[in-house]
Formats: sequence, C-alpha cells, structure tokens
Amino acid sequence: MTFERLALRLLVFLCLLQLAVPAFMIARREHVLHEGRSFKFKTAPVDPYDAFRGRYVALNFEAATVTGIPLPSGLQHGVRVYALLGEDEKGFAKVTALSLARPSDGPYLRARVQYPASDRVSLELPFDRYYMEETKAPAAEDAYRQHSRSETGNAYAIVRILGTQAVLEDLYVEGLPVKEILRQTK
Amino acid sequence: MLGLWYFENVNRKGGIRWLLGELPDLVSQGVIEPAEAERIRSHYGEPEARNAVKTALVIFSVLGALLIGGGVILLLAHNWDDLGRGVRAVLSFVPLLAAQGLALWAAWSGRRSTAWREGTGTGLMLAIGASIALVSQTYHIAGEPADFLLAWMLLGLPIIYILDASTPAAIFWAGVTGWAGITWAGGSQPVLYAFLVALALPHFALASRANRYAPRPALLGWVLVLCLTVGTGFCLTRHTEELWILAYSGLFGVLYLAGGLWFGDGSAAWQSPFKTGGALGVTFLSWLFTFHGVWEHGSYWHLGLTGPSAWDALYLVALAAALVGLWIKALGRRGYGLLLIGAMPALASIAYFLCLNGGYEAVAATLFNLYLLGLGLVTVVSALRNRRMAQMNLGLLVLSVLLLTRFFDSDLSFLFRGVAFILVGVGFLAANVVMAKRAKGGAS
Repeated sequence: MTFERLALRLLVFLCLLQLAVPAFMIARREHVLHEGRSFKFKTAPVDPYDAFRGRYVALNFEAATVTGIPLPSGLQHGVRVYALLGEDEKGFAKVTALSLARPSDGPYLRARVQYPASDRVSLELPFDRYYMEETKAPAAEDAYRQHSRSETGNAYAIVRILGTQAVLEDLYVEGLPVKEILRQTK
Repeated sequence: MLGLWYFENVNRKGGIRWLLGELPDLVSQGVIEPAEAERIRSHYGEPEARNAVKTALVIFSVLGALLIGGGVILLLAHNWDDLGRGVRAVLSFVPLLAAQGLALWAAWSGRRSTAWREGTGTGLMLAIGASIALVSQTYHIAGEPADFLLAWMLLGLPIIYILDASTPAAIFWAGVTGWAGITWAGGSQPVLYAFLVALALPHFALASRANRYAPRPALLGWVLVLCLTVGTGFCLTRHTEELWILAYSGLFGVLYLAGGLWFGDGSAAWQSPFKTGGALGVTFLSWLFTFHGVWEHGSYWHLGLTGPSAWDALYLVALAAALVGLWIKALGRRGYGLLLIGAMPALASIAYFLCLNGGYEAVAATLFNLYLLGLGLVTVVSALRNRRMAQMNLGLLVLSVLLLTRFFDSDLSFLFRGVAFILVGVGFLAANVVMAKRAKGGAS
C-alpha cells in the first residue's frame, strides 16, 4: 500500500472517530433526558462570557450549599463527592447525604467540593449554565434575577438525572420556561 | 550530512542570485550575448517566481481556513434558540462533516500540495472544536473548558501526521498550553504538559528533515518556543512561584544550547528559533537578575507553604539533566561560544541558592551585572573580529541597556549621568565607524 492510500484510510478512520465524539455526547444526554428522573433545583445569578460557546445564564443553586447533615471527613477543595438527592417540602431538590464512595442506590449527583467548612460545604454541581441566544441572554438574566432574589420568587432549573449523568433540561421563572417569559415580555 | 546538504543548497541559492546580478555586467562587457543572458535568466529565474506563488497560496489557504473556521465558531456561539434541540444536535455535525469532506476529497483526488494540506488540516482542526462546543451549548454542559480543550486537541492531533500539516501542530501546541493554563493547579500537570507537547514533536522533526531552516519548521519552532515560555509559567505551582528563576533560566538555556548545537546555522536569526529565542530569553532574564529586588525575597522562599512538590522537583531535575548533557555535548564540539550564554542557568542556580537564606542579594545582583557586562563585551569583540555589524550593535545594545538601567537606579548626579550617556553614544558611533571602515577595507 502506498503512503497516500494509507494516509487516506487513516484519515477516514480519524474522521469517524471525530464524528463519534459529538455523537456519543449527544446520545448519552438524550438518553438521560428521556429516561432520567426529573428534579427541580432552586436557583441565584451572574453573566459571564464564554468566547467559545456564546452567552449563557450562569446559575447558582441553593442545593449547592450543603448544611444541616452530617459531613464525611476528608472534604478538601477539589475532592469528588457523591450527593444523594431528595426533595424538600416545596418539591425542590436537596442533598440528603454526602459520601466519598459511590452510593449503591440513586438518585445522586457527582460533584466537586468547592469550599469546605466545619458545618457546611459548597459543591460545584455538574450543571452551572444555561445557554441562550446572545441577544436574549441579558434579558433572560434580568428576568431570572428578579425572580430568584425575592422570597416569594420562584426560579428553578429542571435537571434530569440518570446514574452518574445529570443534564439540565430547562430553566423556569414563575412556572414558565425562561424562553416563554421572554416571548411574553417582548 | 544534513548540514552539508543545507550548505550546498544555501550556497546554490546565493550563487544563483549572484549570477543573475552579474548578468548585466557580463553582457555590457561583451563576455556573453544578451540572448545567452536571457537563457540563463529563464533557466534559474522561474523557479523563484513559482516558489513565491506557492508560498502565497499556502498563506492564503491557511488564513482562509482560520477565518472561516473562526467565523463558524462565532456563528455557532450566537446560539440559535429558535432551532429545536434535535435540529441543533444534527447541526453540530455540519461544520465537522464539511471540513472532513473537504479534507477527504483533497486527499482522495491527489491534491497533496502544501496549500491543500495546511488549509484542509486547519479547517478540520477548528471544526472539531466547533462541533464539540455546539453540543456543549445545546445540552447546557457545565463549564469544563479544560476537558473540552483537551478532547479537542487530542482528536485533532492525528491530523498533523496524516496530512503532514504544520498549522494544526501550531494550534495543538497553543491548545495544550491553554489547557495547562486552565488546569494551573500543580500536581502531575507539568509532566502531563511536557508529554502533550512532545506528542507533536515528531512532526517538527519530520517537517525539518529536508531543510531545518525553511520557513515552515522555523515558524513552527517559534510557536514551540512561545508555547514553552508561556507553558513553563503554568507548570509552576502557585506556592512555589519563586522557582521561576530556576525554571526559566533552565528552559532558555536548554533552548539556546539545543538550538545552537542542532539548529544554529540559519542564515538569518529568525531561522534559528531555539537559538535566537533562547538567547533573547537568557539576556532578558540576566538583565532582570541585575536588579536587587528580584533576589530580595529570598529569605522568605524557604517559608514556601510546602516547598516544591515532587513534580516540580522532577521538572527541574529533568531540566538540569538536559543542561548538563548539552554542556558536555557543547564542550565535545568545542562550542565554547555557546557556553557563554548556555552556562547562565548555572549562574542563576548559584545566585538562587545563595539568596535562599537571605543576605546575599547584592552578591547575586553584582554577579549578573558582571555577567551581562561580559556577555555584551564578548559579543561586541567577536562581532568586530567577524565583521558582523548587526551582532555588534546587538552587543552594544546589551551594554547600553545595562549601563542605562544602572544609572537610573543609582543615586548619581545628573551631570555624571549626562556625561555617561554621551560617552555611550560616542562609543556606539565609533564602533560603527570602525566597522564600516573595516567592511570597506575588506571589500577593496
């Protein structure tokens, strides 16, 4: 086989590999969105700019600050932990237990420890942004900010969880998807 | 062997230029006929013109691919909300499929010129990033730019070898350096970074096989020098930042020596990126080291929270081992000139350990004042001997920068400084006059 033909074959193989990566990423997340259990995560805000992925609404979740439950020892910045999930009386997701080993039974989240303290710990959840069209993101941010700050406000994200995977499905403000709110305020 | 080939090639090129320049004189003096001159000109002249067209084609194909690829990434970043999730998932493949189609078609139809390989390779490299970014956007995947960048670079790595394209290699080095910056947390990261950089090194060796001073390997070499310079900073853990003195001296020393030993015969400085880059780095660092301030914090260094990690130590030991090997090699080749700059890391290490417990800052700074003075003087003297105007002025520049900085940070009177400035200026002019006269003398 000449070098040219070998190179061509290798190139075909490489192209398939390159296509497989986004295909796998999509398939895995579609699977979670279809089969995963749905949780409501109550939220709080910011608006950075990611040059690669356009604008997004940065999200901060109440459940990310874990307090009032016994914490395992050895929680340092950057350590991976498993957070068992339950729901509070209003139906929002909350962490019911933390462990360093993978729990035998779900639903749980895989997260990294951000700031450990003696009685509480902040977690870096595997979903922290909601991407929007660049012209709409600032308006969405405003709507989200108004509703996530007030006591009665009701802003939350729907997250589907299956196994170790968590996929953010939609962002809701006052019971409506944020895109719907933007359409109404236009 | 390669060197011989190179010299023949360069001499040939220079000879052709000389011959073409002589033609009008030869014709006017009746040595050859105008028709013969024209035949000689067309025999040698055309390939040069064709080369220029080729180079322009390569530049435009790479620029075109970079612009289109970048444009596609920006268009996708707009994030088209009105398209549903399914449509956007399918669309994620479009830039990748388009770039792949073009690259495959070019390879299949035998379009294997540099312009095609570089252009399609660059487009494909950027398309990978665009596709993964679009999927991340569609599914709101959390910000893990480090993983994103690493996956992108590793998926693009084979392009470099299959298409024998250097722009993707440059993007790869820039990408893994970016990755090192994002994961700037220490640990085993420096070793992994060195490994990632090394993954594209065989391509550099292949690209420089025919002529290591051609524009392609030379420019790629500069990208590597820049990436290593930035990347070394990312490899120092935050609590051991003072190690930069050792890490950077070692890096520039290794680059300079390796460049001088194996890549040092380029006819212009830019053609020897390692040697030139290393020399610039060593000179600049030496100048920094002439300031007291750099050494003054030495007494705190040993208080560093945990001291250098095992990985930092490994990185420094590897640099030191490389340096010693290169010194031995340079001595073996009687390249004493190389050691003048190449030995600077040793001097920096001595100064570093002197200052570790404080009290020797003045000694360290004086050491480097003397070193830079010596470096400048030797450069000027050897340039005068070899009649190299540019090198001489470079040496004079080093000397004057050294003198001027010392005058600015010491408490000398304006009168004294004024006189000193004038003397330095007179020295500059005198050296140039001497050189110009010598050059004339040599020519006649």
